[in-house]
Amino acid sequence: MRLLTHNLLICPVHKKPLAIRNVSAVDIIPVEYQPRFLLRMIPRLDWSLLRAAAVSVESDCVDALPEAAPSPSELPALEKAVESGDRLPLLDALQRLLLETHVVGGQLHCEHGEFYVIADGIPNLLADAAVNPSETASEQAACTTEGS
Amino acid sequence: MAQRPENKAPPQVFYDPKEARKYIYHTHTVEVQTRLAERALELLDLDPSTLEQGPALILDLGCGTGLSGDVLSRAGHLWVGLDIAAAMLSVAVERDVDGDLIQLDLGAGLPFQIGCFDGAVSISVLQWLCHADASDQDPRKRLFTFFMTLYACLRRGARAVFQFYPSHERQVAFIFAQAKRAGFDGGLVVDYPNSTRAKKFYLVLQAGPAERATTMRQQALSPAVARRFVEPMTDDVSEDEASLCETRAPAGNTAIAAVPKNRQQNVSRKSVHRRVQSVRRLIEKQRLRRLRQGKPVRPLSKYSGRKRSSHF
Ligand SMILES: C[S@@+](CC[C@H](N)C(=O)[O-])C[C@H]1O[C@@H](n2cnc3c(N)ncnc32)[C@H](O)[C@@H]1O
Ligand SMILES: [Zn+2]
Repeated sequence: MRLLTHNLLICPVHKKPLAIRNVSAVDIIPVEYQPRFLLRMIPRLDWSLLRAAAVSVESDCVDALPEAAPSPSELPALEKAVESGDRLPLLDALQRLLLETHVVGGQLHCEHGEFYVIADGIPNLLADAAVNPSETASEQAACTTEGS
Repeated sequence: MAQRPENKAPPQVFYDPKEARKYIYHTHTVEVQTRLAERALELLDLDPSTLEQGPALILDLGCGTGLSGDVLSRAGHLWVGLDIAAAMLSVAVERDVDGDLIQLDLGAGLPFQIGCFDGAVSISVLQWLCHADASDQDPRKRLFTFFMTLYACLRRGARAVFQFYPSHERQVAFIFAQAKRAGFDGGLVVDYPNSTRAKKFYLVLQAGPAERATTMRQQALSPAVARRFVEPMTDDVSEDEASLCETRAPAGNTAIAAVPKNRQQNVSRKSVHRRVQSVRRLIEKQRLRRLRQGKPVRPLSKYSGRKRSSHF
């Protein structure tokens, strides 16, 4: 799963963004440079989620991401730069992160506690595939109490 | 008549590894699915001003092994495929599809931010959502949840095109009613209405009015198709309305003539060739870095350095 798709995804139950954790495998697969597509995506992005994702996958591009997304008023200037063929570090970082960085193995954590597993690059968001650590923990606790 | 697959078993059971193989080895199946997807992409009528700015971001609802997604990739688009069947998705990974894959049940709703996709296609899937696979499943509710969440994650004015196999006329009206309740406008396009075998149904939905360029796009539609967009959606799900897909399909060659013409116009726009790059070296570098950092890495596999179109 690309970080672009991750950025657009929300928890199927609580409709909240999902944090990438316990990453076991990442692939980087270069594709054709798409500056205009990336510019078009900027307004749709959850910027802080993208920054957190870049940290989770330990991307080299973390430092190239500004603290905040370019504001709508900054976009025309970026567009102009792209039109005139300038190579912008911001767009290079977005290209690498959004389009070329794939989480192949890991977990997607909801702030409500449950998480979803990513295996073979595919997150499993089926209702019965959600892992609820607090439930499993309390179930285990219940078992131990019964056993003793 | 052969029993319809959706009457046999739930999709995640019916689409087992053996069934999934058909979607790579049966040349006929591959050809049919590809043709249906090409037609759906054409009916999607993507906003030209979007296309000027590079690829579109498209959902493939019930993507299966990625045959429909391949059509999107070849046209230079980026796609996210959703499917419930693990066996189908495994084959998609094996086939090195360019799109991203997510395993989920469409009837439970789509988990995406608001307004992020430029369009959606769905090939031979919708009839599955009309079925209850468990006693606690209510198809009406599932369809409504599905359409409502789809509407939310599409850009205003974006379209969703569903090729599907309605079991009977009432089913079409039933689906329309839920789509309309969720806010969609749209209609049914019937290709080859007079041929029992070749006849194909496409539900074409639009998520609200476009932000701009609406008039231009509607004029660009061939009159026959444009007319049919507005016609079929009504609140009343009476038996009469239910039969519209049969009776309103023009009796002569009108529909057939209008449709292939549209098709030809679009061919050149799609013929973007795939360029394949070798990227294994870069992945190898990333792997070595992770190894150096003492992190777990996957062995280089068929997945690493998957060849992709130059676009995505
Ligand atoms: C006939 S196959 C078509 C696959 C692909 N669109 C193609 O054209 O090759 C139907 C697909 O719909 C999927 N499907 C059926 N019901 C579904 C549901 N409730 N949620 C997600 N996928 C579903 C099945 O798993 C299967 O892969
Ligand atoms: Zn949650």
